[in-house]
Amino acid sequence: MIAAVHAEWVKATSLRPVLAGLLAYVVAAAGISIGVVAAVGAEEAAGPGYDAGTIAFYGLNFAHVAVVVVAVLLTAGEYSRSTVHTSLLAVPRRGVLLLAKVVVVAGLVFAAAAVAAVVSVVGTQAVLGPAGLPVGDLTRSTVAATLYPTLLAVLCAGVAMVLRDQAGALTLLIPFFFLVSPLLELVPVLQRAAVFLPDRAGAVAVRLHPRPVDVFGPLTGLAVLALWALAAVLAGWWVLRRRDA
Amino acid sequence: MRGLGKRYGDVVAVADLTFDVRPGVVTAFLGPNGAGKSSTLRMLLGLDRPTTGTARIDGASYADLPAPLRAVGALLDSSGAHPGRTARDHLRWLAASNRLPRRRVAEVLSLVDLGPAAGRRVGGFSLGMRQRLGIAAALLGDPPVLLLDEPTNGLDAEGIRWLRGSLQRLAGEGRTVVVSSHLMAEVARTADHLLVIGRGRLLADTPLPAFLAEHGTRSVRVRTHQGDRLRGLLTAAGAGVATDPDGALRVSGARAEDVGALAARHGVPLLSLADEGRSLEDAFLQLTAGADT
Repeated sequence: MIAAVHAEWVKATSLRPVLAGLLAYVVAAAGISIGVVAAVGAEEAAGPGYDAGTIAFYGLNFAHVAVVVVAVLLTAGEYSRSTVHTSLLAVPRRGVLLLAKVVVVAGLVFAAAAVAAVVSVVGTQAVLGPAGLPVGDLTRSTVAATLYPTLLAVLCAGVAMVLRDQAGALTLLIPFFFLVSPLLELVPVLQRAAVFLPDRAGAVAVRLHPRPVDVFGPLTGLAVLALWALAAVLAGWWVLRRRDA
Repeated sequence: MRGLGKRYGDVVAVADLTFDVRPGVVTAFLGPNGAGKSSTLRMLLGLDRPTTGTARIDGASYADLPAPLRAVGALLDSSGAHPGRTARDHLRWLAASNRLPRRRVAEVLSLVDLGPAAGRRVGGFSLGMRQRLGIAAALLGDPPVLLLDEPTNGLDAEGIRWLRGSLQRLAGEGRTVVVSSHLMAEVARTADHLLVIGRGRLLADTPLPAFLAEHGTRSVRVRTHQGDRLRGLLTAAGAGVATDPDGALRVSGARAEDVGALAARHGVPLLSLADEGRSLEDAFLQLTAGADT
């Protein structure tokens, strides 16, 4: 297992698009958060319904494209380039191979997300100046802003292993998280259900104050997201075990 | 292989295949395209699940091998390297996956003459370079068993000669070497043992010399102005003689030197004399064509 993780680590870190994707995540997540706060932060902070957590990590919503891409590249990407056979020759136990992939995807995204989260929270509160909160007050949001992208990456890796097709996985996941899920949350009758979608549940955990539609708290939000991720990985495992490579 | 079979829906790719492969010799796994060679190898390597039967390596199924790259080196046309990775990085992750020493990476790269290209991305490689990288990957774990699916694909004449020499050397070290091919001529000079399949069925499992003796029937074609006289002499010597449309004699069951010596003894002047073995390719085609009916 350790050898398989080591191999996946070498694989991931020897591909430029993966490293570029992780860097893009940090730049987008922190850059957009700080930029938005610099532009409208002061007004927002004075307005009603202001949530320091949401605004400090505003860039997450956009940077998640990079998370989806990195997770898909490291999983379904092997099917698009016929390298999955090589992987299975080296690590024929399919559960071990999948788990190694999940560990490395999660580890890489966790590292990038932690950097982005810390830079975001320190940067945004500094920009807000007197209107900003002490960074310590945002600790829970910062931790959530690290775990949310990590679990999202695991979810995407699982879905991609089910689809076994890089283009297919990207065309399903990106529109879902950037169009379908946010729009569903805007439909009044669906709000309470939409909050159970993986990315909405993750966003709940990042928020400092619960909204009326948030039917659960931050910890439950992360747990809901983790359940989605677990289900996706189990589905990926089932497909990988059953099907010819 | 024990009763190995594979069906894709209604299509039977491999049917009830049973054979063993011995160490120390080069075994050619021969069959026309679509005969089931790749399917058989993929099942042996645990990539595809057999519908019936089992495929084992030293009594173990591939997935149960603790460090498979140390036990089996495989080259499949589908088992490539990621085009965005360098040759060295490709071998590095393979080495890491089976805890092989890092120095093996440089060793196998120089073995296949890819040392200077080690830092280049595989996407820029020629077909021959990719093939050599695949062979390097197969040799990485110094395995006692090598399974190479169409290894000469994309290799130039120099590369093919190098590969032939390497395979015989590797088999000479006591390894089990299996090379699949759809070209008889390609393996006739390398292999010691033949496995021929067609339509997923085993058609021959025989040492190469025995295959040659059985299927490479010999005849001698000879032309002379004294055809009737030579025919009489040959028939008296116990050879079968037929006359070709152009008047030449076709002598079966004899060698050119026998016919030449006989003619010389009796002072029959010869215009031409040649051995005409039926080519191995013909024998192979006839054998595999038989499987279609």
